[in-house]
Amino acid sequence: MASRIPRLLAILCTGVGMSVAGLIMQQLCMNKFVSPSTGATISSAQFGILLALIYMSNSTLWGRTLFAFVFAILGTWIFVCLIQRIQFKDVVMVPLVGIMFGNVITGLTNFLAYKYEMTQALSTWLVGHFSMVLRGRYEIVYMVIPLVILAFIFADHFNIVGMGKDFSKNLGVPYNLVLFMGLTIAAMITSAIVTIVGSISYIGLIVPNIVAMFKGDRIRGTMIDTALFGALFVLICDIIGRIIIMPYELPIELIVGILGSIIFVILLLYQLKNGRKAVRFGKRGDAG
Amino acid sequence: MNTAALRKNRIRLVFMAAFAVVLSVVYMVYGVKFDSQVLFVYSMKIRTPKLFAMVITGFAIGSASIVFQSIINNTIVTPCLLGMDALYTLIHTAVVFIAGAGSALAVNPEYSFVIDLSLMGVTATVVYSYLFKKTKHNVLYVLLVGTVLTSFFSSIQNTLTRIMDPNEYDTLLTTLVASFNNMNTSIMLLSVIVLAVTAFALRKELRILDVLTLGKDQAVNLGVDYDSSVRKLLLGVTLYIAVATAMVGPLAFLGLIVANLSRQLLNTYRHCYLILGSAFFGMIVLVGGQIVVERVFSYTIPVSVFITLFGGIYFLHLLLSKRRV
Repeated sequence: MASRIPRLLAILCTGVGMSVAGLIMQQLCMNKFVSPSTGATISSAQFGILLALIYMSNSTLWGRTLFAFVFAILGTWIFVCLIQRIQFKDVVMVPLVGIMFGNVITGLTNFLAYKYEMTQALSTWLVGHFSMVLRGRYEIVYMVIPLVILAFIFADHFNIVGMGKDFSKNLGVPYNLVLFMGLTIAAMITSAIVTIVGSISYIGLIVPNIVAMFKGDRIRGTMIDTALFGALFVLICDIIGRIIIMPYELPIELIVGILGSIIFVILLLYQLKNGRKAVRFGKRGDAG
Repeated sequence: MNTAALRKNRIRLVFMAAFAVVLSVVYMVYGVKFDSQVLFVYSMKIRTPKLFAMVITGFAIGSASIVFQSIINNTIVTPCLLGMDALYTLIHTAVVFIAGAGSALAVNPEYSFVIDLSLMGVTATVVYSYLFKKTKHNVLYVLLVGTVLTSFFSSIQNTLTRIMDPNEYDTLLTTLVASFNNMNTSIMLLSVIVLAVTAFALRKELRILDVLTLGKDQAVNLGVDYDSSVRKLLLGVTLYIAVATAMVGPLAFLGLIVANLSRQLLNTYRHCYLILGSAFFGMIVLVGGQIVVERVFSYTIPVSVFITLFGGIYFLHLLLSKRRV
């Protein structure tokens, strides 16, 4: 129980947090392909953690979390500023630019890690896993809960901002304030999870899209479903990871990576086959 | 296009070629002791294969990147989106993990080159042909799936790294960073043959590249089989990148830099110029970068780090200066 209860709570927080962060980012950027992993959030958080490890070698978990926060927020802001300045010919270009932007940051991270011989230590933060979740070193993950509640309170605002700058001004919603606040919430959720669990790709991308297929785009209505489905998804993946090579376990990132890739490709092909109405991927047209 | 502009471009190309040759000569003779014949022969023996490797890599990445950008119809993409870098990293990690760092498969550069090239070639051909069929020839969706593959490969690779013996990991790390040190003649001969055969097989498609950049509707109107040409060209690009990666390791942003430099310098849409220019730029950047790495930083920083850093800055600059991508 001493090890399983923290683990269960961490799993639930991760699932809820990552999927809500993905939902917020997709809504605010008006693009169904944006998520913490395709929007440079995760790679910036890793960069922050590495800097904390190198320059403050006796830093506590809190110190690392702070670094991860700052860099994740900065990275996400810069990315969103970039994609707002640019007119995209196709929605798919937004995540491609995000991935390349993430590659730049990862390149920096790798360079520093290579220079200080920390690449293998870094891979602890590159691979999400729950095996180190023990009492005393996982509590930061609880920060996800107030952030998610905050996101829920502002859900309608995010929805309005997602309809565009002019529209939200018409309705009296301060566009930039809500946009950057929403991004900050998403980035903080992501970096809290990256510090404790490690990076887990795809959850923020897939879960909101699957839920939106059935529930539509109104964020207040879908946020609870997204959160629950995210928790369920991570829980199932974790159980699979623990069963396959019992009594050892596979890191969650591997399971999510494999399952997530397959689900994502299936969704994509399904959408292409059945037209844009079937799945709401990129229904809103161009971003920015 | 008028003849004056054409001649200007030709002159620029000649200058670039000359610059590439000058850099190569500088690379070959810098710091060589000419008075001792033994030392001279020795340094030539060390440097010649490296130089050839850089020239081949520069040519392969440079030319492939221009073709890639033209078929995607977008100048800020780089072929690293195809996922070959991640696959290369995964193959090497898996070989060390399964067979051990001391095994012949991991130590012998010829074996690992053949393994890399065949695995990457087969995967790319099978996956991308299938995807083209499934997505009804929508190149952007093919690319999106390519990035999914990238994270698929790297999540497996990261997991293997985590459970690997740190000693073996240290040996592995040297092969994961691009370098020109492990060259030998048979590898280069094989690469040149693969590159030449691919180019020969695609000669028809390469000739209509100018038409393809007009966009699908125009190209079809002009009687081009757009879908199949794009598919073949993308496979060719993947193969070129696979050869370059298998030879030296991942060089993600090189393609972005050289292709855009070539487009900026040569004010034309003709691909015979653009491809040549980009290939020359590839050689210039690699040889120049290697000279800086060897002489200024005395080997402390791998050349790929420079390319990623400058490539990253250049990418941001491109993003900020373009209003539409």
